[in-house]
Amino acid sequence: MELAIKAEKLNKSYRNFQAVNNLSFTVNRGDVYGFLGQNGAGKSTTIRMLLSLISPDNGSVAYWGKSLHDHRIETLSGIGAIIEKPDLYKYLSAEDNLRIFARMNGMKLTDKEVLFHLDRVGLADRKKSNVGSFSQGMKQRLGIAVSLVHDPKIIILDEPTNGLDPQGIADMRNLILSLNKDHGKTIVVSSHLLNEIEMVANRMIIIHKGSSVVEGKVSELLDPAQTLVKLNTINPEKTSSVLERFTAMVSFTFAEDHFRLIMNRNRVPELIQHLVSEDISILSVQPKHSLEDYFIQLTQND
Amino acid sequence: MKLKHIIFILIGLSFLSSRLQAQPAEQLIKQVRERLDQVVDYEAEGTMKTNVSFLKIPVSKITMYYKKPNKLRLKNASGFSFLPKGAVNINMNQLVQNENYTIIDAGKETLNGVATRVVKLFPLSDEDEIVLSTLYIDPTNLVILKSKTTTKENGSFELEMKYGKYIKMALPDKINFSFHTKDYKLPKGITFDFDDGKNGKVTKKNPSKGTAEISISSYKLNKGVSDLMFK
Amino acid sequence: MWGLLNIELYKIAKRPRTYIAFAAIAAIVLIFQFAFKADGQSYMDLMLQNIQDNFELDKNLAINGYFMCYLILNTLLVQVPILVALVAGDSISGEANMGTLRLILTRPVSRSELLWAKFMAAAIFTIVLLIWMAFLSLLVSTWIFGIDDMLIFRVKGDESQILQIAADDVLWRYVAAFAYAAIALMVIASLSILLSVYAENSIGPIVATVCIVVFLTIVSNINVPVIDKNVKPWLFTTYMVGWKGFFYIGTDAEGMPIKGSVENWASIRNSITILLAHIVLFFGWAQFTFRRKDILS
Repeated sequence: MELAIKAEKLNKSYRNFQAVNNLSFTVNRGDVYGFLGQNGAGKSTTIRMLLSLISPDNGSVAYWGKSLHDHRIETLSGIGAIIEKPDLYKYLSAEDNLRIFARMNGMKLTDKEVLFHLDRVGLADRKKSNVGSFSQGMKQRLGIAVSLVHDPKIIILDEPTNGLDPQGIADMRNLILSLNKDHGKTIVVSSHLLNEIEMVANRMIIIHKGSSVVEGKVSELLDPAQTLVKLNTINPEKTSSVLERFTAMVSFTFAEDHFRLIMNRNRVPELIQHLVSEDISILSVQPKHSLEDYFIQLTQND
Repeated sequence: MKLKHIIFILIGLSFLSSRLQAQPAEQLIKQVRERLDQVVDYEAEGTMKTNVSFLKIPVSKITMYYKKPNKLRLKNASGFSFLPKGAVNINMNQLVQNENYTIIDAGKETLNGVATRVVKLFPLSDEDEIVLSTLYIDPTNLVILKSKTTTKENGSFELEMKYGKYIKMALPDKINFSFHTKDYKLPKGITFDFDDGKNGKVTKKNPSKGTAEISISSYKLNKGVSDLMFK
Repeated sequence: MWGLLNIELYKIAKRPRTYIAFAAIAAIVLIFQFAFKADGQSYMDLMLQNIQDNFELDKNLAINGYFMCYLILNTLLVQVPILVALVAGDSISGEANMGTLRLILTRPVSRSELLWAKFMAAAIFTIVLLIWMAFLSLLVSTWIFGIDDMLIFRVKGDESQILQIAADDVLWRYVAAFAYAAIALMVIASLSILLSVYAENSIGPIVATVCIVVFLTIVSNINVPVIDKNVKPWLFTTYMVGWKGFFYIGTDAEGMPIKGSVENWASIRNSITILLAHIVLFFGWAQFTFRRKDILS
């Protein structure tokens, strides 16, 4: 596995506040690497350190085995990034914005290239419009065009779905997957929503209060064999006796008004069939990840 | 006793003394006037150098126009220049043409090695601009070498004249015009000036006295000068 | 570097606020010219004071294009720092505020080169502004009021003076004066950029620059010996009007102006040195800070 990014023992504090604490992780080439953490967990600070916007108090970041600090310009030319919302020059047109940022990568775009890049994000017909007149979604799309204009190997997206409508969120998700699968880009994406990360990332890290809580493959962290399922029925006693018969398939507890089952996610439909055939009236079945619970717990503790 | 009476007494005294001179002052003035009378008009080219402590201005090219009996005008050849106002009184003719003066012989004085006759003129009329004029006359060449004049409006000034080619016409080559100036003071803060730290004590020349040195290079004599020149 | 400079210039050219400066200058100059065309005589009377008792002067010729330009510069160069601050003070903080700074800095762009490009762009803006000023206040004025010798009314210590500079000895002085003004305004630009590096909104550094300039100008104009000796020589505001040094024509022992001369070259050199030192100080400081700054905007 080729290493794309290696962050080692990153530390950053502002006055008395430790924003990032001894954080280490690695991103492999071809990964969609999820960066999960609640707001204020240190995601943004870490991502800014990945982009040399913030210099770590200590620790290091290396891309392709080369220190970012020592090879900043060279490294950055292979990276495309959107940090929070992509703010562009409002008083300039979409084309101007694209050209300016391409220029910073040492590229002079031809008119054809401009059209290609704008068309890719569906803004070809707004080429001459001032960005000030764009909707949030259009700005986001232009921001993507800008961050892809120099065909970077690594794309870093900080909370890319913030402020987007559901359609925009879905588009963004598809774009990330397409960039990764079709164009072989390595992508780092941060979010405070697990399901967003889950849907796109193959590896992920959860950070909390500046430290890594867990890191690994999403498939392992979100193992379907260990899915938590919330079950709510009209007749709990009967349900309980039916469930007893499937202990090979499910372990369960009852709390408050619902069952908490731990079972393989894939076998949930099967279980439901059994319950239905036993005349048990099901009010709701909610498969949940234990990770999500964990994550929610973290969030609620603060 | 009024001041005027005192002056008359003084005049009377000096008048008496002048009687002792070889040639009466009136006679001398008459001769000088006759010389000056040869000139009907002229247009003179020259330069003027103004020395006033607060004026840092270059030598300017000037043209001087004169027409009988008493029109005189100083103009700079091009652009603008600070022209001393009393310059009008450079016109000696005006002095000697006019008969309405009491002429008093004030003795002799040596001026730059030339023995001159000193003559004082008092206008008889109260309306005359001139209050008193003292003339230093070279009796051999019959030209005025120096004059001191006190005026009502323009203060007092002094003229010193040097003659050359045009001495026969009693026209000077060089005129040195000394006059009193008022102090020049700009209101503070009006100019936002750049202070180069060299303010200290500036050696002032006599701040209340200025001179204008006029050097005439050529006269065009009696060729006619338009009245428009004096407007 | 050139690419970045190009980008900066393009951005400046595309912003409406850039043209406020040009419009403001045009308005002030035109008002001046109109006022003097209508009633320049009374200003002359004020400046000449009682001199008119002793001298006659063709005031119409004295109010010429050269004289007007000096007068306009005298007034305008007090205000132009605000216009320079308007552009330079916005250079980093404006981008931070807009959110574009972080976007730029994730590009393969060196921070010091970026700041250089910003500084150069501000310099070019200032120079273009000065050329505009020169065009309006010198060219248009000479066209309206004609050309003749130039009068300078000056207060030197306790003395008031009137200097007359021959018409053919004036133009090079203006060229030098405008060049000097460019250097003086670059001090403002580098101060604005320095403040801009610290701020994250546009207005802060602009207002701060103006406040600093106003405050130091007031200090520069306090006439107390202690301040004269110990403070003033070190304030850049003291040298903002140093361009006038080129118009303080040298005189000979008799007080005659010497063509092509300047009264005090040493003082002009000293002023330029101090201004340049300020530029180096402010801009160096800005570079030092900016290269280490965490971009949190």
